[in-house]
Amino acid sequence: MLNSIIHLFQSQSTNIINALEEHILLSFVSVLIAAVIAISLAILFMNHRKLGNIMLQIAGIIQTIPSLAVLGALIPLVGIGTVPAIIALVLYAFMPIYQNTYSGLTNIDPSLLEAAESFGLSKSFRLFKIRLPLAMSEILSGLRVAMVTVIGTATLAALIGGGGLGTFIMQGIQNGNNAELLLGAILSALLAIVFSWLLNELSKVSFKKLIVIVSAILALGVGFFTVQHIMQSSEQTITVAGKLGSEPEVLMNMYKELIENEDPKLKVQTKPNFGNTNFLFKAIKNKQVDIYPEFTGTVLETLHPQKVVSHQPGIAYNDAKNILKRKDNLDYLKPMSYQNRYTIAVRRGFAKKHHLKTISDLAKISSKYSAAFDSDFYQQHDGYQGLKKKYNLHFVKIKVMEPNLRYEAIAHNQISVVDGYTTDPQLKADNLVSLKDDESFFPPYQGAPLVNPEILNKYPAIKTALNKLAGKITEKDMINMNYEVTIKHEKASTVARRYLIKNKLIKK
Amino acid sequence: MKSKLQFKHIYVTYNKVDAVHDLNLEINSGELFVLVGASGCGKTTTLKMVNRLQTPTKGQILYKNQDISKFPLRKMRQNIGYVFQNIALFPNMTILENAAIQLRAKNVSLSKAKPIVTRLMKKVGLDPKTYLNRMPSELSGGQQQRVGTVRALAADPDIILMDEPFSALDPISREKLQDLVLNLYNELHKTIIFVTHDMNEAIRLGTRIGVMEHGHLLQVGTADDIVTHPANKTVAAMFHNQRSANIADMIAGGFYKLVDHPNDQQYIRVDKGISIPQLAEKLKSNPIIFEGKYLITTKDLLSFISEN
Repeated sequence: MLNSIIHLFQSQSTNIINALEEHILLSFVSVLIAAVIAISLAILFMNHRKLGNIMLQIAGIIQTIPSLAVLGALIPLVGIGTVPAIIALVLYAFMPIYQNTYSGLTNIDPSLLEAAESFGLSKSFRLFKIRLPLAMSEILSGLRVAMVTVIGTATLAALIGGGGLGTFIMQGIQNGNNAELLLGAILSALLAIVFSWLLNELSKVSFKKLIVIVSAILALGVGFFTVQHIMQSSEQTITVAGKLGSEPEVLMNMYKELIENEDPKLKVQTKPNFGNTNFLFKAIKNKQVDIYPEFTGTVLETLHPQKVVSHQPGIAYNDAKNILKRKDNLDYLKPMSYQNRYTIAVRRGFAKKHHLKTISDLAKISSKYSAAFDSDFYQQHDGYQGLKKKYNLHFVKIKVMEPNLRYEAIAHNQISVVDGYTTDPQLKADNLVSLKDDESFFPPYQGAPLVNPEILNKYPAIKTALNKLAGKITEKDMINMNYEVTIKHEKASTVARRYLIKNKLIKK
Repeated sequence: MKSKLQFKHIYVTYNKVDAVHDLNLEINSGELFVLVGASGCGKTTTLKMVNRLQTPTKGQILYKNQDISKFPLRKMRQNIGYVFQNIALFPNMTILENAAIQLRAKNVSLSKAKPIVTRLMKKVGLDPKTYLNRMPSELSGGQQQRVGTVRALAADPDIILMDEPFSALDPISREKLQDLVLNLYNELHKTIIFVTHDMNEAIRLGTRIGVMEHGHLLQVGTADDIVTHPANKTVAAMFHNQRSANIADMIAGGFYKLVDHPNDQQYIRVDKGISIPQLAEKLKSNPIIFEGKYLITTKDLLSFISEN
């Protein structure tokens, strides 16, 4: 485990640094915004106990709302990505800062306040030279609590495409890659410790220095953002996003290369691991994302569920394309060759020995062997329950297992048959073969770029570029590329580029 | 002496109870006026009305014949020094910053305030070099209250309010600080209004004393007046201890000789009623003559003490 974490560190260092940067920025901006609001409100209410306490109650109520619910509630209002993530984090950071600031400002020895009044000091002198400095240690401890909470909660930002270290955690869960999961968790914990320590150090600094430091950080931050903003807005940027995992990331990078190759004036920004299907679909409808790869099966089964789904890939694609145009006004460009759908896999040696090529072949000998299935696959009608009837399968025993464990079980010869996805890198890693669905039971899952039509009208080059992938990339190609990214830890961009050059889709 | 501060029919009422009831009082310019009474008698409330930390429910306070409620509040307060019962130095500021605070309220820069504070620090017996840059927590209670006194004097106010300033201190520090107040008063001749519950302190410090109970001002007069001619039984009871420790009691008890040679230079002359400890202090050097005719010696004092 430790080795694989270290390996991850080496191979993914750029991604890790990017995620760390995103995470820090996300947390920092959120705490800063929360601090400005919370401290201002505490100052505003410090002489109005009733209002101050009402605010405290409100802050407490906000704190009890589960963070996922907050994120969910924000999507229809502000869409997905960084903005809702920051809003949610600001809400979480608000209460500790407000509570501590308010108590710091109001629990000052009343005789000191009376003294300040007696000497005829101005309001601003009393606030900035007396009340705030006296409340400072409490304010800082509130900031510390807020920072730690936010750094922890910010891992959820990955769910809605906000980026950050949560990306590793989500990917780890998705791929059953514990090293990745741990990496994300450890880094966010470390980050929390470092920031907590930094704020503790700050509490030892005098009030004046503190103000100087905070303003310096603020000025730097504002400067950084302005520069970034100016640089970004000077070019035409197209946003390409993808779901969690290596496959969408490889495809995104291919889109980027192809578009930039076709029209060098266009600049493509990639947003990998942008959350799950629903988030991404909302994002493209809200025009926060211009392009992302989607599967025909997902369109027909999840986004717009159909009663009958054709088992002919071509018909399924056309249905999906028409529905997307009609209901969402989105363009669905030509699909690639491979499908990423359910499959049944066995060890290569096992297949050879029993001459297995199709699921029908397997049905003949199924009564002698055991299988391990993912629980979703086992329960669903379009999974094993339907498959069983179609092919007349009768395994000796069926174990329901975590996706990752069932691959481990078959690799170690403990089981003979597993379910999987047709492009899973484990098929290559564990030397498995996937059996042909000769009766066409599984609905087709063909990948194709889903695009915002406005961008196509504006830049017709994009359509030309993306259509170069039409009919390209076989299942074997995709398994290999997933293998190179997930197991060999190569960069998705390198893998994507290599494929495009090899297949002469771009010039070197 | 011109009357400076006048309380006219002042009432302060909380929940229908009078904390101060029909207070009429004139405090003269340059006077060290002591308000004395048990806690809750209304003396601090009275004090706080002077700088408008407390607003009277009814009545009027005049300063130089002008209603103080008409003065701009901050400006008025900048001209009133205040020494607090619990000292109330700001823990986040150095001694210099604390002492200079009223000067800074008057927009005097810290560098201009420093020489003023330095001079006053010397006056109260604190070495400026040692203390100016320290934090209040590094000083003893007595030292802190000396700083508190410097703070009240620094802006050269017309009036200084002292609210039980020494009640939290040990007896030795208290006595030293009482001496300090007397010295400063004799030197600067500021108007000082001093609140205490300690009759001893009142007698020791006050040029005049106002005795309060349950919001009523019972009597105003010099220490002598009050001790020898209490206005009523309550005042008499309050000052009973002080009475028993008075030189007048020795005379009444016959612990004296009549003077043969009243002009003899070796005797110390005393004309005012003084306490027994004050008397003992003086007798350490020479016998004294009281009111020009009673000669009191150490032996007389010892006999008085042994018999009482």
